[in-house]
Amino acid sequence: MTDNGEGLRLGKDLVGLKDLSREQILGILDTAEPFKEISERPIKKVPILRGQTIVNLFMEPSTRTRISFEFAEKRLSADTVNISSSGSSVQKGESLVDTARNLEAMRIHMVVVRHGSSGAARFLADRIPSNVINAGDGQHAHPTQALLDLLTIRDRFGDIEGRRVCIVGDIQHSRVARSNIWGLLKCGAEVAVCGPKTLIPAGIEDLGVQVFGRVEEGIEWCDVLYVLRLQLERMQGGYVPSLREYNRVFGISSSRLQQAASDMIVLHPGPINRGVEIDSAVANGPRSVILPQVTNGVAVRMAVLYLLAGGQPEFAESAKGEDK
Amino acid sequence: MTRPLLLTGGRVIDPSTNTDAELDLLVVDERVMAVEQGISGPDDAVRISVEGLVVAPGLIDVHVHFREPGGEHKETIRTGAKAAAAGGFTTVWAMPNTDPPLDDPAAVGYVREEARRWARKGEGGARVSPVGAASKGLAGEQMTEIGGLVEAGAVAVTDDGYPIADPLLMRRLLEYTQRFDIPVLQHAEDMALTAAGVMNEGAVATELGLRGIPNVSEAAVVARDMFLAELTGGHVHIQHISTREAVGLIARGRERGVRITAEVTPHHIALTEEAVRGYRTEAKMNPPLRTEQDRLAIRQGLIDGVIGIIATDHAPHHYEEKEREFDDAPFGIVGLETALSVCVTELVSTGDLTLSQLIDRMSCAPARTMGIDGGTLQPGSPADIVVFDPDVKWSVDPGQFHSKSQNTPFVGKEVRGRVRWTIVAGEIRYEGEA
Amino acid sequence: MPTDPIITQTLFDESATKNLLLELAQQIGQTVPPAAHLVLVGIRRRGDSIAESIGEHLRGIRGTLAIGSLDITLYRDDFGQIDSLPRVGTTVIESSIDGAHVVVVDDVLYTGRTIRAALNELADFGRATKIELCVLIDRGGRQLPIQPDYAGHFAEVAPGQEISVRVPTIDGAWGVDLVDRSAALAGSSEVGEE
Repeated sequence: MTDNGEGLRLGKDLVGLKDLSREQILGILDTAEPFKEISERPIKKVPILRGQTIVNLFMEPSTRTRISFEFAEKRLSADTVNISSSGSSVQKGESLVDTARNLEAMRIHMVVVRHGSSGAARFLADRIPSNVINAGDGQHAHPTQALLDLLTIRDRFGDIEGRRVCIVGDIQHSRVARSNIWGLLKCGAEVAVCGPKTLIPAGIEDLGVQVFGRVEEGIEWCDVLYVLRLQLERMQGGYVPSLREYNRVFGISSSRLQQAASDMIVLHPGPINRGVEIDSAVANGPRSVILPQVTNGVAVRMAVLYLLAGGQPEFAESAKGEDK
Repeated sequence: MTRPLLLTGGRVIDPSTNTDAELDLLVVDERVMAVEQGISGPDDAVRISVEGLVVAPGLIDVHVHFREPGGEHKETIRTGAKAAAAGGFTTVWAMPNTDPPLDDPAAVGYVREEARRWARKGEGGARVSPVGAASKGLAGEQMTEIGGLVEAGAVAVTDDGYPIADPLLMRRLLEYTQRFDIPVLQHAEDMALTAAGVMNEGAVATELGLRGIPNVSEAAVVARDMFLAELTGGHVHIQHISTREAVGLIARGRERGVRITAEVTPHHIALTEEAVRGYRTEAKMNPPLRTEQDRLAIRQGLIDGVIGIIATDHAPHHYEEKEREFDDAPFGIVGLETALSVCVTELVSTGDLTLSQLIDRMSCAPARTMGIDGGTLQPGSPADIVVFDPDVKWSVDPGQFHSKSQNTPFVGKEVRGRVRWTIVAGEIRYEGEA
Repeated sequence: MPTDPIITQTLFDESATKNLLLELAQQIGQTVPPAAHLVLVGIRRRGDSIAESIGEHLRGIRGTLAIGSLDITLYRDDFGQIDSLPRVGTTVIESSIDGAHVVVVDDVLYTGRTIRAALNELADFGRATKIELCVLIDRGGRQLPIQPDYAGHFAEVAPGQEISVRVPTIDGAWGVDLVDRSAALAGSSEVGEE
């Protein structure tokens, strides 16, 4: 890596990958490389964000992402405060705008926000001077997840350009799918989605992806199979008849992977529903890069925190970008 | 008794009498006395020179929400009526989805009386005609006492805010209302198909991660109600048409002589789903802003006369209610004070409609279609008049609104045409800046 | 990139620089006890090349030694004050430095702030028995109480002038230049970063 983020500007916030250029995305991945090493040290901590306060505002349950961000923040020596929807004023009906005003009054440097409503991260970012990092907003975006996925794909293949990535599962409700679509397309990958038609959102082709009706077609076509988690509440929504049925038609099993290219890899954002969207033999098998994804998650988040913390406020407005 | 009023030298445009000429207009005893050249008028008349301005029948909006009773922090009958007058409207139809809803004669009577009470105190605006609830509690189950509502002043019935979902209830309404010769106003939406949608279904919603409302959610109900109107002979009026499919269905219904009419809002004429980008809650309304294809079809429907009426669906919401996550913000925008200007800009300046045709869609057609007073300057008719400058350009500043609410997607929009005087029953209820 | 800085003087050409490196290696070889576990840690992005070169010489003089490179970006004390976000390099320390005799190697010693950052970072890799400092050029101007144990040359530097060290891996060849920065104020960040 030669250009580890020198001169890279992300702007004030990281709301979604759609706002970023290919150079910015690759710049984040390059910056993540040296951060991988810090987690291998005896003392896994560098002082760069000493004195910076970061609020992890998690208004929707999340274990993995919050822990990954916390590790990243602590390894950069930031002071962190966790606010989660249970036990906070959020539960008492405080509005997001009031939460934003309170955070602003406490003079914090950054907010990592997870929220159940699409657009919530942008909403917050537009209203406070602190850096805002989107840790997942509704069905809209989960940029750090997509960045760690991109890093994992690049680690394995050396390049993202020209790779064929098939995302399988509940595309309709998936912010992970959306952020990956933007990130992958900007990095020059070909992207397809596959899943029950009930879970393929209208107009998805307009984003520049192709749609496979049968998962077998996607498996044969792709270099990277990205298996999404099937939220169990989709059963109640009537999108799929049952978990068993979903596994029968769309589940990723060893036998289905027999048609895959020999170097095809399998990603999953976790947590896994074993035996539903993916079988244990695949999740634990040689194609799986699920654990490297988790490791890369910390490095990517460290890189994002570093890059945003170093951004100069006067550049922030111009770099923020409109969601268009 | 108000003094006689003489408007001199204006361009009188009255589609109801095929008039478009420089004429004087004399009002005496709350009625239009004469529309001619060179009226001298009585000595005590108030004389206003309106040269260079358009004098037209007062605008009629058959779809507004005034929130009183129950939502007075958003709008009251008084502020709503004033906002209407500021927009050139002389009559508005107040929807019954208040709290409590206008589902009994007392509530209906209250709305009518409240507007009259402020008018008597010199604080009046447009005439406010209550629309009664079609079903008790707007619950979509049991028909209200429509005869009583009409006696109390209701001019139509609707469950607006909600659709009349039950086809059997809709059939009964279309049959029963014929005795009173009033229309059933339908918010055409299949709630099951809408599910938890918050904007138009399609690529933009997919990109923003917002749940979509498909076109068929509207079209399915329009189709059903068209057949029910055909079966019963009743008058169904489809509110705020948003889809090309609905335009096509109504065109076919009207060809077959079905009593189906429709309205379109200025925002569906002017905007598409693109306005939602950035999670702008002031572009969140139901029906949602649709695609460019839909927008063009609606405009064509309006030009062809398939959609006869422009109505605002004026839906005030308090700032704090809109200042939140898109999913949680309420549907609806204000429209009374921008409607005429947005329509002049979007329809007349573009050459799609003449001024006369626009006045027809905003005044004459609503009166004709709904069978109410107004929409004409014919001598003897009520002196409900709008005087506006069709050319002046201004930019929309919600801070200047008379409405209690400012939730408009047109903030900062450069528009043409501005109301100068609004006259209701011969009395000047609004006077705007030159 | 703005215009190239004007080179006012070449202090050491390729062969003279190589001689400096050899001399430094000899000094270290004579001073560090033969039994010590010697670790040379070069500070990126030029100190690591110098450490590699000195290490080559030392391998001929004494037995085993380890060579590492240290990126001090994340230990800088001016984060948030700098205009351009510095690139982050990878730190590579091949073996533990617990009980080791560490020699920190850099190209130019100026304010001492880089060395302070390097010492802090090294502490996160273990507890060395001894840490020494070796620089190719000491140009004076210290802002912290830090002095070199081995210095190839002490250079007098006038205001507005900087020392620029060239290494083969980055610049194509060895060399030390005295650069007049007053003519190219916004010059390369590589110059005089110390």
